[in-house]
Amino acid sequence: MPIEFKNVSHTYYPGTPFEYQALRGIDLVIKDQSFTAIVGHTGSGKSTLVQHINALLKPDSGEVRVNDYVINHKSKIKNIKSLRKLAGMVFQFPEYQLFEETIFKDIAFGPKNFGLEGKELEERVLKAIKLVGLDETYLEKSPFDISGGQKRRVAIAGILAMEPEILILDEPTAGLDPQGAKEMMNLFAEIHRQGKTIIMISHEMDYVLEYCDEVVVLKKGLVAAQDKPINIFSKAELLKGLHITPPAIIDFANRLIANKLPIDIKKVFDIESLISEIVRVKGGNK
Amino acid sequence: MNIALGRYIPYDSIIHRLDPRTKLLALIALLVAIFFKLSFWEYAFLIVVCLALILISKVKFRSILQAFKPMWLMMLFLLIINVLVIKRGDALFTIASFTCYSGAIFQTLQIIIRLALMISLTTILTSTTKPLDLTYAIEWFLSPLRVLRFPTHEIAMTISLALRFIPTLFEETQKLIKAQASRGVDLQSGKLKEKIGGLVSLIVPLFVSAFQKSEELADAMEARGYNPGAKRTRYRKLDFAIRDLVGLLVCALIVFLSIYSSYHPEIVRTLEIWKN
Amino acid sequence: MENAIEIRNLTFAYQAGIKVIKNISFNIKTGSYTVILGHNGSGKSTIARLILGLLMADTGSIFINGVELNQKNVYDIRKQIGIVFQNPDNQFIGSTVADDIAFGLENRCVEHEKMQAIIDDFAAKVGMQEFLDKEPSNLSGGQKQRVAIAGILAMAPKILIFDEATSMLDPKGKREIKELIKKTKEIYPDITVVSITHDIDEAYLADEVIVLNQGEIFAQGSPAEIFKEEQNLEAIGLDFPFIYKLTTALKAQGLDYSGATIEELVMKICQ
Repeated sequence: MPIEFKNVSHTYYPGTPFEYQALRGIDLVIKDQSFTAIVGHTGSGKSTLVQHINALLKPDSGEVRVNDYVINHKSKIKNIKSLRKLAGMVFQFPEYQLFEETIFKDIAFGPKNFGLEGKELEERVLKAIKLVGLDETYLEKSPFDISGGQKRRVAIAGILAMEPEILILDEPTAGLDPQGAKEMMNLFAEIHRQGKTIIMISHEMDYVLEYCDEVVVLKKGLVAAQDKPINIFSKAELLKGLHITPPAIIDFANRLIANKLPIDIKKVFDIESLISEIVRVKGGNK
Repeated sequence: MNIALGRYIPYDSIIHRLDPRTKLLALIALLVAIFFKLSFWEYAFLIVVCLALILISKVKFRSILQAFKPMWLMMLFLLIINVLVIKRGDALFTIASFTCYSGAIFQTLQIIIRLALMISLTTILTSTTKPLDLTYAIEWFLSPLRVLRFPTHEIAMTISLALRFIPTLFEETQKLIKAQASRGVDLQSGKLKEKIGGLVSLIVPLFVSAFQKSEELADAMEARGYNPGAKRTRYRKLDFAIRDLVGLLVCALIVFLSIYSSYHPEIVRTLEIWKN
Repeated sequence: MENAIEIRNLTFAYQAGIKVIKNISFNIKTGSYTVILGHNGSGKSTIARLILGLLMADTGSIFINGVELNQKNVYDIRKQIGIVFQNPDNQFIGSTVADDIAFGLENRCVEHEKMQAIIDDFAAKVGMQEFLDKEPSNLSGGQKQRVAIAGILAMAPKILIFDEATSMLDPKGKREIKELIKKTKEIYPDITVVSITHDIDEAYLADEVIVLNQGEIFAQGSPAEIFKEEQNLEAIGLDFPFIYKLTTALKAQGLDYSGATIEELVMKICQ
């Protein structure tokens, strides 16, 4: 089942001097089993949008549908816990939410709250820690004694152990070094291959191009565009208006096209494909 | 952001512009006046003064009423105790061999008026004065104690840093609540044991983060040459202007009038005659 | 003084036995723009804290403009060094932009009458003159970092260290801070700028690059020397700059445009 937003608006602190309308009537369908990127300027409403999916926030007007759940202004969601198990949310810098004495207990915290126990719980935790690329020797360590990058993995394992069908990621690679970020993205690609829906807020357009199959661009609380990454990134004019810097490779290809080199942007997704396009066009000219 | 009491609201009014020391001193003087044994007329006078201050300072009545919220229960409790204990004045009514006297009602009313005035005046101060300016004012009043090696400056610095980080920590708490709610914490309808577990999942990360913040902040302060014992100059200087002098004089007059007239009831009586 | 910073045989461990810095020696030339590059946990931020005397080395010595850093002269040495840390929120000390820029001046006992002019001047240098009364909760991460830079520049440091100052910012903030670093270097050519980062593209702009790995120096030299095929940067969790990868791949196809900037490359390919 897809995730549907119908005319969703959300205002923070209504009726105070701090009033701020973050979403202004969002209409959006996020396809089932897609790897969707949510991009946009800081303050465009990205985080507010995704927090509606597991009902951390409710719309002031309009409604959100996630499987059988309907989230709107009035509804009191009967089984909010199972919605939150269905749509797992990884916040920005999730390492700050670690708190247990051992990594095992911390990863187990989520699934335990959702009623899992005993052998099954243990297996879940073991599976999750392996999935994020750490081994079981970590399980008895304190989550405060490991490096920053490892903490982030443990925090993500804590959400994966809930086995959500939808995984929501808020800038999961922020602050990681290139290798750490790459490993993290490969992990999400693997989870996506297992048939889960992944929704990722990101400023890293290189990753959006490489990993995602759909991009939603937000601007001032509205959906400004939704399409395949390459279709969005190849429109240099559109990007400028949205304050988005395209991936370096696409930016470069766009510049070549602007200088009348007739390469096919749809065939460019990394350095190798760009070079072969350049060689094809230049070779043809000679 | 629903901490109503004490939130600075940046309107532009003469009261906003007063020196925080003036405002603090005036508040203390008015509070002293309120706690004298006053009669109905003096209270009426002070209520009028208070209403005038609210109007001048552009503070919303709604935010003052919000500040009263935690008081309702206490006031009710007070009324019950007074009715049970105080047996002065005229008997008003009797329920099942228990008599309620007018003294009890008056006494309660007096306390309620005092409290209401107190809260209103304090709210006016905190809504019109930046917390940091208040800190400077407190530091200034405490500065004579420096002779006794009382670390007034360090205390003021600590308070101002705490004030600076309240919004940050508040934001972080909200984020953590959401993050742990996403992991199934239910602080509203869960079992007691789950609720306690949920609280731990908030408090531990908050402490960890606060400690880390304070460490990084200390590094940043040291790197910019802060040395607790050393002499420093000041960017913010408190500015005592003519309006402050006028303000203090008006305040002194109000306090004097209410206290003086409480010892000389004939003044009020003259007023009553004049009114008739 | 030829070298602003000299590091000799430096060793440091947070916990006994686990050395984060392993017998490192290097020099940073006065007036240079040096990038210290390394993956997370390579020990690069520890070096910044050692240079500032926020941590004291286990063995070895640090010379700042020819003077050896020790417990006694640490406050004097710090007067020559300004540092911008990673987390924008945790280094915003004042309650408003103006107060934060003033903080260092207050510590230096600058007279009250002179402060406002200095604050206005440096706020303008970082483009924050419109925000003097704003509180940190109303600023973006990039804006907070700009305020931190203004506060530090106002103290007229000889050495300016950026300790992963852009890693927590969004792309716009990152770009702004990198441009500001470049601009600062132009306005103050005598300031020695040390940028600690894992941003490869920033390293490409530096005069000198020091690559750290596991608390040891992996490579040191000009960007052209560092970003060469032989340097196995991927093995230590780093990447090559985009422009470098592009020219290398073109070269393999017989199109040699090495050393070109992005703009030059576009023109050459489109000829």
